[in-house]
Amino acid sequence: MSTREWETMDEVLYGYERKIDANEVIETYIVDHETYERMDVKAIISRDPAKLPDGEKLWVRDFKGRLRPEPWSIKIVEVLTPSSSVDIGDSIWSEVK
Amino acid sequence: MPFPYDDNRVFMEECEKEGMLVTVKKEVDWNLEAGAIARRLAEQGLGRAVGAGGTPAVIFDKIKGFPKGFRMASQLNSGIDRIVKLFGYKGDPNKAKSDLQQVIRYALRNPVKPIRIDPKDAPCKQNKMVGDEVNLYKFPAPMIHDGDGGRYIVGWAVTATKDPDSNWVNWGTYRAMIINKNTMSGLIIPGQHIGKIYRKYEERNEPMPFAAAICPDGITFLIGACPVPDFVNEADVIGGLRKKALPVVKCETNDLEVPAFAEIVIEGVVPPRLRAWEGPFGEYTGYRASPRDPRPIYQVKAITYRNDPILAFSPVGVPVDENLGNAILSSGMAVDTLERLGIQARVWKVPEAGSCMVVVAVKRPTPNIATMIKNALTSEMGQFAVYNFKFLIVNDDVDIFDANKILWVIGTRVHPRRGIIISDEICGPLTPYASLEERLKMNAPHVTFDATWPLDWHPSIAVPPVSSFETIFPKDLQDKVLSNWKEYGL
Repeated sequence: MSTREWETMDEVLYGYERKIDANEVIETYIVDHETYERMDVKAIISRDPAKLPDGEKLWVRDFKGRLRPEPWSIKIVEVLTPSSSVDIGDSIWSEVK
Repeated sequence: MPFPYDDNRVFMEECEKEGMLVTVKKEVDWNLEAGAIARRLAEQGLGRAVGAGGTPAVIFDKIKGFPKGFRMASQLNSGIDRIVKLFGYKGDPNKAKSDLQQVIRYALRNPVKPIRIDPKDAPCKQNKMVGDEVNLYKFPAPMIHDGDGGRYIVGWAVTATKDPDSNWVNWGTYRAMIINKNTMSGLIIPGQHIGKIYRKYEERNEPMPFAAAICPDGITFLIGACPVPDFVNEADVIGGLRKKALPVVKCETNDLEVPAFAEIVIEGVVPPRLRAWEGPFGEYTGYRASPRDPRPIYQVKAITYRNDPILAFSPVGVPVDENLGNAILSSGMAVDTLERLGIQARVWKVPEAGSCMVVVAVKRPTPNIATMIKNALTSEMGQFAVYNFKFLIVNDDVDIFDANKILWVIGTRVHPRRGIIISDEICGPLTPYASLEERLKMNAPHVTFDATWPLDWHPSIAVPPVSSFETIFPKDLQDKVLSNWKEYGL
């Protein structure tokens, strides 16, 4: 089975830090590292790929859009239906609004 | 076929013959490489004509991972030579920035309605994808700058939307990136025409039909980015500029009309109250300032496109680039606005300042003229306030098209106490100097620099004389120096 590489960014993971550290499933979206197609998923993410050996590469961009040099790891638990590929509601920036 | 150009391909072919466009045969990647090449062209060209140090427009003929025929283009309007050609301007190239301002003023007064043509005669209908067939990934949508939020397929385009309460059809230039094969998200600012129209649909809980026409003719693209007044159809103004009706064709899934010669037309609806993460995107100010934020989504119902489609894009960034044409037309509109209010002035929306600064040279200053002009432009030209944050009001002796003179005036004529006027205004999320909070709330202060000499300063006593060749030496001496110039060995 071929593995894919994915991308996300700090902004998207904002607020999930504790769950990521606890290896808990989070609901988020990622984009294909090659095509940038977006996919909504339930997934486990690890900053250390060695701690998630059956995961796929997850490249992370910082708040200024720069790619971090080393990838994290992601294990997709469930791909959510396309109809959920839109967000409704406040953004993470709502606390400064 | 000379001016006016219905078909951008004809314009591009002529530009290539005249050395203003290069077709790149080497394979280029849509993922950053095309953006990097086009950006470098812009930064080397700085808006100049090819023969005067400028750089050409470009067509990328072979795109990595795409079949032969699917092409990309960029920098089509980034040089003054292409803009002059676009308008069929035959006058003095050195006066083009000023003279072409008169053309838009004429067009606003003499609009020409578009002409609807049969779909079988419309090149943009040569291929169709409808419903489940829709696939935005069929086209080489560029990842333009590293770190952009997505692939911006809609950029060098006009997006049509219709006011639900009137016959006003807006054609504006708005960015939209691909989310998945049939969804895009885009920046819609409340102060923009599309924002005003979308708000009406959203209040009624109804989807807003849209149609994005990618790579239409160059005049249409330029007008899409200009602050055409509310309730004025851009298509009519475009006809006025062309002095000939623009051929349009009806969309497949809604009643909107689009330029018939556009390369790709994406149509569908923007549903109410749905948002998707959009941005960031390196923008025309020269910064990637707008944070990623949940923004309206475009649900794509159909795509039509020409054989061998050309996806045009603009890697906007540090100026000068394709903001030059917008500077010319927007400035002409501002002159018109001020004249309606009885203010005689010349205007230049300075491209070198990231298109965020407007210089106004006023013929006869009156008390508080700087505030009056700034208020007039931001209130009478609604969208002007979204994009222009700095206003510099000068006396009529300043060459406003010369960026060096503008810097000189700021450095020498603006009094730090009475010459700087700060006002609270709306802005867009693209405003680089605004705090993150201000960008998201879309309000930030503007500043007006009043560089006019105080009216109570006697012109022959208190106003210091300008010390330049043309002003500080007697005319007969100037003539002598000029006539002897070669004899000096200079």
